[in-house]
Amino acid sequence: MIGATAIEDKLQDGVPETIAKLAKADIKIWVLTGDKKETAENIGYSCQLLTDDMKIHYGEDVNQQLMERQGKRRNDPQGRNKKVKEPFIKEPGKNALVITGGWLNEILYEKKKKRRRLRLKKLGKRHTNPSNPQESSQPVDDWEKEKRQEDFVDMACECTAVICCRVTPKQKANVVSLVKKYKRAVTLSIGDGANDVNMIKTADIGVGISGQEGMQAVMSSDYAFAQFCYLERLLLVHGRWSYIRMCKFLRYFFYKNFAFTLVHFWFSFFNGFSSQTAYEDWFITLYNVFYSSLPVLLVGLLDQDVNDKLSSRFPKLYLPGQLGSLFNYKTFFISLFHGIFTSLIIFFIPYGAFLQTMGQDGEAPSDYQSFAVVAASSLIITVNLQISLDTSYWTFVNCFAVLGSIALYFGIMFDLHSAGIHVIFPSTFTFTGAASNALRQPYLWLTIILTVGICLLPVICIQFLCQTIWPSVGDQVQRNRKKYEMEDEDEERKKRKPTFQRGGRSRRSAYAFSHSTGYADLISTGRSIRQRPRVRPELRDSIREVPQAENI
Amino acid sequence: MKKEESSERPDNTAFTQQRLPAWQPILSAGIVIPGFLIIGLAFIGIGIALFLTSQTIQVLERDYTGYEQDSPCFSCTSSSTKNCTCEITFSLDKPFTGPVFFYYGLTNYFQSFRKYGVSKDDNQLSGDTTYFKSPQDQCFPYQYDSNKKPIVPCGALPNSMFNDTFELFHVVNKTKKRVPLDGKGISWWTDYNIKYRNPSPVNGSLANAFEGTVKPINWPKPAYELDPTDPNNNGFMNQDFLVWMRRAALPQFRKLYRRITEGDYAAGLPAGDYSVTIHYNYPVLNFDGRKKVVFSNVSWMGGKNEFLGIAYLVVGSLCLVMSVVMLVVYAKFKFKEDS
Repeated sequence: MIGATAIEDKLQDGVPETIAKLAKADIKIWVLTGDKKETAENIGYSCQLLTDDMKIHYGEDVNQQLMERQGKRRNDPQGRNKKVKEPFIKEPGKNALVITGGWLNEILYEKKKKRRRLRLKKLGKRHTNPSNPQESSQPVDDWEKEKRQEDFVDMACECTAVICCRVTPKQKANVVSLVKKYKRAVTLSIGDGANDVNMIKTADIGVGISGQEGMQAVMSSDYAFAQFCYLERLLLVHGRWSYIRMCKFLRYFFYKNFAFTLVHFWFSFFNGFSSQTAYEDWFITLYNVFYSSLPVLLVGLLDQDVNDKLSSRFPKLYLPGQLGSLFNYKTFFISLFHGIFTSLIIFFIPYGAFLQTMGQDGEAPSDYQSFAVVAASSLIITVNLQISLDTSYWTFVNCFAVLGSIALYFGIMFDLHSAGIHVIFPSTFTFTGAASNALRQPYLWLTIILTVGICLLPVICIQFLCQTIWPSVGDQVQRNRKKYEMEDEDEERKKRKPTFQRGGRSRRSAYAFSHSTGYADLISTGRSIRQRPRVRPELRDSIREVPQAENI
Repeated sequence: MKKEESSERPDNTAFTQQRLPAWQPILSAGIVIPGFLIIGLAFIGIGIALFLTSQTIQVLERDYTGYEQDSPCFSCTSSSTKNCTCEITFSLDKPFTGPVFFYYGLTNYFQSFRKYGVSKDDNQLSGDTTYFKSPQDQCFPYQYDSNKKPIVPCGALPNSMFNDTFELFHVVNKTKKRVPLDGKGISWWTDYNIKYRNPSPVNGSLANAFEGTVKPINWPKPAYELDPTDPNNNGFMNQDFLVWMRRAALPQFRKLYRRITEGDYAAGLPAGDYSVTIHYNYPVLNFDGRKKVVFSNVSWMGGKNEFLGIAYLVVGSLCLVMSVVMLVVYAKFKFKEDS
């Protein structure tokens, strides 16, 4: 041999760490590549998707298991109705699946019939129908095909990692749609080349990596960035924040509108069911626009329950989003009941206070317009204080929005109830003098304070008790936030920057030889290169993994 | 190339990159438990103040509808009698501290009914005479009378104005001594001075401004003759009219009739016997309503109403109880965590 050339397709920085983090966040990672099996396997080891303690199953193994399952199902008289699923892989421990595109076709039986017949003809066999359907290894009908596909997906999901090699772009898209069909899961595809466009389009979320391979992947994707490691930030930080913000926004919006509207329902018992509004008409117009919308919009834009460093550090925080636990039927009904409770308080406390009472100078304040002013004021103060209880991240814009909304309400109300505007439009603005007369009575202010208190104090109490008795992961992280921040600072100080900034630590590269088996096995399985590489002693610190504190 | 890069770069401000400085408060035990304690004590304090104040207010109510056969005003309930007067008596054991306020109360009367409440013409009531000739449609059916003449003030709300009148007498040595009643300033200042305006007098007379219009159907006299004794108390600026126009929120309400602030009774009503002479004009029995006269004095919190005082006391004590409960729960779970 004169020499050897090797071409290395380097992995980007931070890929193994990203994959490890995402796996901790309960995200299943499948690799679909057009590379050869040996290359794909080595890449798997190199980015730590496959580890030494995993048992690897190949296509033949998979096929055998699937056929067994199919046979079992055929023989079982109740086969078609069975719902219980036994696991495919009975041995404990981590498993990985490595299958090629060819096997994928076999398993999924997607090959065109014409090509199959042509191939069989070439081999001299006639395409005969299987004489005994029981013994045939092909699925006989569509139902069996579907069941076979479902079996495959189930088995793949029992494995920690799945690598499909030699897949065509069409098969990539088919695998994604298979997972979408049989598992009620959200799928994300990330790729960088034109051959990934199909799967990027099929998945629920498509991510394109912009770089050397051109911009086709980027142009067909929902999100695009330049490095694979940004995926971690996209999911664990921004995805998580976005979910929490949306859920808070939705829950609050339902609550505030129920609280606002149901007061009319209670009032209708006392106005002869004549649909008399319990507030001034202008208040109803402006409520959702000016008086209560800006704070919740800002929560939906800016709220963070934990900061980005802690979000990345504790991938378990990602789980509530996957389980849909922050907005579902149960939380919707909780918002509904909270709104009903608030509306009851906002109506009946002023009702009790207004019954048979008079004002300070003897004039009766128990008139309709004062009642409307009292109900509206307590509603505005209650919902704005409620959003401030829900906000976890108080910036100055949030403060400004909450206080500004309340101030805007009082400002506009006094304007609409003033003399000037009544003189210009006498029949449009009929609440002249209502605000000034009502709100100069200490009795009505005490009514408002009591109403706001009864609406908010139980919420604070229940929130506190729930956080103490059943703290969620997010609560625990928030409580110990200062401790973690100090730990982070200590770590930053301790980490010594290496003098040479190479492209990350040494990692296994993928080798594939073009000639047939021989010594290729030694290298292609990676056995000979699997020991820890010897490096310069001063770099040892930066290479060794620092175990993260995961027990919260 | 560089120029293109920088124009497509997203903004790197604190707001767009979500790096705004922020305060992240947590609902910790150190804030919640003392907070509930303080709020509980404050509410209890306010509740006691309200309750005690309410206890010192005196109220006297007498129903004079005449529903029962043996009641003094039964004879006035039949619709055939016109200009009926009846008399009810009451006696005070303790002096009624002044200033005493004299109200009339109605029950089962839905002034908050929507169609009833919007049935008025605000333009007319602001003195705009163009609407005198053509009242607005929401006043229907009290818009034009049977002769197609416009009604001023139109609408069901003005039309149903309360028109019983009362006189109060203090019975001293079997002689009735009239108690002077003051009807000035019983309505809201803003109603009298801003919201309602009389039309400008024509040739110096208010009556001429109402030329070509008729009075509301159920009124005994037209608007410009509501008070013959006081020329300022006529037209729309009549105090009783303004008090009536201020719609009540609930089906049972009281409206101020007069104040007792003059003469011997400025300091209050001494103990003794009193009688009220009622000119019974207003029919309520056909909708099962009730009428009453109410005498009350006021304090800083207004009239007698124990609801708010009791509510504050209840909420305050619940706060204290909950703060103890939360302390217990917090101690139990904190120690469990630590151990």
